[in-house]
Amino acid sequence: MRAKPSPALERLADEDLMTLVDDKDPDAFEVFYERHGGAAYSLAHRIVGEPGMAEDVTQDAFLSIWRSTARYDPARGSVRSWALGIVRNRSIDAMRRAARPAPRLDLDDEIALERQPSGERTEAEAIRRETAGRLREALRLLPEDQSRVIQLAYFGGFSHAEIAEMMGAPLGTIKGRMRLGLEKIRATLAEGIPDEDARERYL
Amino acid sequence: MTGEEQSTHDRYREDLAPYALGALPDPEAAEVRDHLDRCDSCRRHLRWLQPAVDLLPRTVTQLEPPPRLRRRLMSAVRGEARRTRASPEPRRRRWAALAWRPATAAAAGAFLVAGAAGGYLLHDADGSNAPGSVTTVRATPGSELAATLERSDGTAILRMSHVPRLSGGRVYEAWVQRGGTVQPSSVFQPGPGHSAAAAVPGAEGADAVMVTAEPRGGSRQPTSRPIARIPLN
Repeated sequence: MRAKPSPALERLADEDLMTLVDDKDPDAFEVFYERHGGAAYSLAHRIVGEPGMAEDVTQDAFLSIWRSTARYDPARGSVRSWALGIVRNRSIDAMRRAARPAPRLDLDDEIALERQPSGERTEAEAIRRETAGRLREALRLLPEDQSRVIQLAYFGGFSHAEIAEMMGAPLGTIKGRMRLGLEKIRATLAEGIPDEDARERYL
Repeated sequence: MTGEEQSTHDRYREDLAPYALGALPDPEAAEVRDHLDRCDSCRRHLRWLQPAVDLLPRTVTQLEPPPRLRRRLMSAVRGEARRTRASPEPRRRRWAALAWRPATAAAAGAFLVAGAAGGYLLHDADGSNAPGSVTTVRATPGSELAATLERSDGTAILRMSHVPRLSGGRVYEAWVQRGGTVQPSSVFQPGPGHSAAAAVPGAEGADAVMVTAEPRGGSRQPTSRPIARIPLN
């Protein structure tokens, strides 16, 4: 049986929690996992396309954070973005080791999100889900060739050269599509993204 | 900027999106990093672009991770925390090394039960020492430094604001004062914005929590005057 994490720890901001995690506090680490484990596992699952491997990759990424081989740098963005960046890179590495192609590259299955909430316990979580909806919409509104190169790169782990070959387009065209796509998403976000990931340090 | 410099610059500008997406292979990514070190305008552009990439994970179907993932992870983590504590090498006093667990877990349980059975016997008549209480002090008149100790469920969290930065690897150390004895608790450093947060194991039932600046790794006895003292009774 697992004791519930202390309410005092649960009230700490992510940055403060990371100070305790750096000091090897297992309870603080459990709260950290509680907050971001779901998003991490979901991202790993999206990239590797298989529950067992997603589990291994998530565990790997969190252990590297616990062992401080990866350290949080506030200059880089929120704790959540930082942790998810680690999960993304580990997932891509695992895919390369397994020499497997990226499993899914369309957006159709993403609609399932509304039916599979991972637990909406807090207002922050609700806002996060609303933002996710808006972001999916922004991605959906992108021209297909822009959305595709972004997804092949981020979720598929392909280099710009590999994508150029796959799509039979010049390298410069692929880079341009990435830039246009990201700039459009960014402009959508600038219209007002109400939560912790878009803060002054980005502006 | 010469024409040649301008064209080099434009080339790197085109590389920022693939760079942010992790789609540049290593030699090229390293070149971009070099350019970013020198180019303020590209740095600003990347900072502006980055949130679009950071938010991509949110577009994926949100799944509930299997419970065994948490069990596996936490069993590895708690095992390592115990070994750190058992390690003879005293390299840095981790507060996990201070037997917060399992001793404090048991104590916390006892504390709660006793509190429920007869809080007035244990705590001040005005209840200021009850579980969930918050005590705030200002260090000295005129100083901006403020410290708050939040207690609930046997956990005490110390939060401080306007904490001076320390140089030479020195750290802050929290102490638990009980009767005439002072015991070391956690070691911490101020985070961004000169604020600090640290758990203070062993604070329940104590007379006061104190904070001093100490050499790297912390000390067994305070070696400087406290910058804050939070009376608990």
